[in-house]
Amino acid sequence: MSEPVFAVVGHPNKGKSSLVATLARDATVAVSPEPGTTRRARRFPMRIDGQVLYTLTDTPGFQRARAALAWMKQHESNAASRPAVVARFVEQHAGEERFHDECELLRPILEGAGIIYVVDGASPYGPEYEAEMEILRWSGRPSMAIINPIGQPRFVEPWENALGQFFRVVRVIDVLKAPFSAQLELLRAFGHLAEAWREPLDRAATALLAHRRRQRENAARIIAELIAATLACYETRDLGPEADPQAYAAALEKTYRGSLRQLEGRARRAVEALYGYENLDRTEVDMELLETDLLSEESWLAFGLRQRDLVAVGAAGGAVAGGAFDVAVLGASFFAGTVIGGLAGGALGYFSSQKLAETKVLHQPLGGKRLRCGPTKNVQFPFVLLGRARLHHALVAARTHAQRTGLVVDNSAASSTISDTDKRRLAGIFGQLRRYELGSERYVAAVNELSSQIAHLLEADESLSGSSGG
Amino acid sequence: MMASMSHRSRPALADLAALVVALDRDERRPLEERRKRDYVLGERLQSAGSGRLQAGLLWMEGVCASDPKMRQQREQARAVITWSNLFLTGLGVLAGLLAAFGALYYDGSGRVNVVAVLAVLVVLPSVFLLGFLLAALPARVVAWIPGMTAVGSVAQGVSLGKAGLWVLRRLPQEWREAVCSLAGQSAAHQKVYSGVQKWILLRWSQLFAVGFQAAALVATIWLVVFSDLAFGWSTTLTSGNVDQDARRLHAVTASMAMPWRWAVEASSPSVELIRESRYYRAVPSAISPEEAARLGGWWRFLVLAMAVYGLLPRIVTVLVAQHHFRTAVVLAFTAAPGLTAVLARLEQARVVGNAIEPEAAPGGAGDQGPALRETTQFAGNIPTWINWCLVPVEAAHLKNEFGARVVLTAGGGASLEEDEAVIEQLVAEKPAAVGILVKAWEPPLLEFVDFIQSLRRPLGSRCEITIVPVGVRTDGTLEPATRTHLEVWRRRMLQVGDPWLQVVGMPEEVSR
Repeated sequence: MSEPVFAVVGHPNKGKSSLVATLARDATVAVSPEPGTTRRARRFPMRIDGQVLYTLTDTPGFQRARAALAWMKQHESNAASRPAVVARFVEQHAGEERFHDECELLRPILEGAGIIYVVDGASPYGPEYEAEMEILRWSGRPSMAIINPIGQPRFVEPWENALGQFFRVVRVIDVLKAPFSAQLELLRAFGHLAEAWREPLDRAATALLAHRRRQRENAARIIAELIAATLACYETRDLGPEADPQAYAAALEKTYRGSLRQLEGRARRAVEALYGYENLDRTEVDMELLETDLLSEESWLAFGLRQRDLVAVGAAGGAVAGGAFDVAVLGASFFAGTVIGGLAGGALGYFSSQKLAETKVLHQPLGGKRLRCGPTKNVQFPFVLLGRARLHHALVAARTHAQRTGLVVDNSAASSTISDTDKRRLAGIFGQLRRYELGSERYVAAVNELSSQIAHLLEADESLSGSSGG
Repeated sequence: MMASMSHRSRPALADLAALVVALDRDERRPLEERRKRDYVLGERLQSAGSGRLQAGLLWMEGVCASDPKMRQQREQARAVITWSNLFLTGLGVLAGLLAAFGALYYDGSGRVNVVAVLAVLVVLPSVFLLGFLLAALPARVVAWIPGMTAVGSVAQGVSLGKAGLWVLRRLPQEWREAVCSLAGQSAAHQKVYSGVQKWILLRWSQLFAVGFQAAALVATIWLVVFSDLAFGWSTTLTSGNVDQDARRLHAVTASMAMPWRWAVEASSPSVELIRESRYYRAVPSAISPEEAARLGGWWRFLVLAMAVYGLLPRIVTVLVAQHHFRTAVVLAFTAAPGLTAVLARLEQARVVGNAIEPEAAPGGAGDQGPALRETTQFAGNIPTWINWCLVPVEAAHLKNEFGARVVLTAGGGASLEEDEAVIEQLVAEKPAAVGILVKAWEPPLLEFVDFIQSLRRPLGSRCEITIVPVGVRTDGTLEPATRTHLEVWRRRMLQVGDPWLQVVGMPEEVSR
């Protein structure tokens, strides 16, 4: 048995292509206020795990419906012959420029497609629609009407009254803003048009729901990795022993902010790509760091050593040597050797590290000052980052592929709807990410845990907006 | 290829290197190209959702399968990594042989000092074992021990495992960088792959140690079997009593022999043998064949000490290092930067709704048409009007506001014959101008163009036809068309190519 096919038909410019773009999740479908943008029927098979479960066919709008109906009426003998008359119309006018659009849109219907008739609920009903609705009724195929308000839904009721006379099922849905749950509901409604279509459409809806969950989990993972990366992010600059750190502070902080922005931007693009929006034009205010004291200064030495390492090693070495002396005198020194040796070794380590820093090899100092910016210690920072990411995700997840405007992420509206329990749990994970060694088993486990927590939050966000479909 | 990869459950170091290379190459590849490739891979790898590790492995295998050069280089990396393991083990074997033959050197003139043999082949490796144990400590423990970070840095700097990196030079440039980043030679990925870095070096160092101990043991057995060794011991630290010294040493050897005492008879040298095998350089003595035969009795103890205290711990440590190394590779594989984006693309490939046919180029009614003229407002006084498709407006309103004397209706629910009748009626009136009121929100259809053209022929080319698109409020009153709607109408009507046909907006005052 072949998969169900649905021909999306109607007057020009009533949102047929928008409906197809939304349901097929294809942002490349041409959607334009210009009538006649769609000139040829285009098939959009929905392949889930390699299997086509249903196909949507975008079609041109009716251009000469009255003339077509007039021809059909002339050739009609009785009601039983009407589907055949429609077929004969297409057969006789195929290739003619006059009825090009009518033939294009009727052909998939004659091949067995269900009819999805789209009208605009923001515009008044008019008698000019009756000819095309009559032709569709003559085809005898299972049909459904969708009232798509392109603007304020001011005229939905008269449309419902009119469409109810031609179509068994009438649905109202704003295809441009349709939440995921509404899209699934619509798909299931398609399945109810014919008994044989119910199972594949239900299967498609279930698979899409699972796909949505996985998308959410992947988005949560991207956000978790973003937070983990920003909490570990810092920039350093090695300076000579005589350099003034303040002269480099502003530049280093700028680099640090740039790195954070880059990390966030990359995560944003990854989330958008996850939902099938590549090259989305996004407007978003840059993140505030909530912290002014990000700079710190430490000493550095060649070979990755730190001054305190040399001091510790020196002290330990001195203590061991002094301890040997204590043993040699059978403890008569009361551990003075260990103490003195430790102090002397530590001091030697301290001064030798300074000496090492001042030494130059090939005109390069072997030590000096290290100016460091970040990582941020602010406890609110990861929450702000998460809040921004959640808002962005909510907007992307709620977006349909019919929308052609850019994405505006108004962070001033970002809400921090996190329960106290979740907040405590997240704060614990953020703390772990700051403490644990990068790449260690515990660190990876913390990232996984964060990802799982964020997935719950994203699910709650979608449930609130009605776009989860669950 | 695809069938074999489904059996893989853990990535090897070469797989991790391949992943790093593939992800790195992806960074330089256009997004669209990546998407297309991953759609194809995702469709072929429908089990991609079975877990992050498995999906990542499948993707990497898919990339290698679709790129013969990549596959070949991965095999080369796998071979080189195997060679680096063998190289380190071989180096250990060489060192073990040298150490054993050195420590057990015997030209028949003296005796082989058992203490020196134990020091070189058992005690010294045990000290190095301590180094391994310190280096293997978790970073969080190391951070708490003062000076350990420095010790670790020094230990890593002088680690024998680094010799393995020398072999990696045989890899192609891109792969060498990838493997070096995993082994900690590149700062960029140092943190992400820190676990791998640590255990790759420790594993190599333990392979060296196993080679060393095994070779030393084999060399010792070889010398014991195929040559005559007379063992002895000597020390300056003495109690002054020969028997007491012998008993003390016996206590030490008996303690050392505890692990194998239950299994081996004569597990440690007897007190008599120990006493007899002591020698003094100050008192040179010739050894009789019987004595030499008895002094060889140390061999069993020596061999077992080397096996139990030298080789066995190293086998354990190499297994521990191998286990941690594998875990670290798996962790690094799942945490590799860029993998999440790849998995997301694979997930996308599971649900694809794209069109089969390409989008047709705009044409016909969809043409943008000539440049738009500035929209003008209706200002004239046209006596003859057609209400196209029944714009919901009272005829009286049209008469009052548009100066209409005659209002006819066409289009919409009317038949084509009725439209023709309207045209005939207009022709009879011979008007100088005709106004057509249309619904601005409805796009101009071809049947309207047909009507205009049918109207033009009988009216003559000089009769001005003015189209006024209007909007309708919820209360039923008219409102001016939006600029977008007006533009749509004007562009479409310009395509008709009729110089006496114009589209104008409705003035504000008329709408009130």
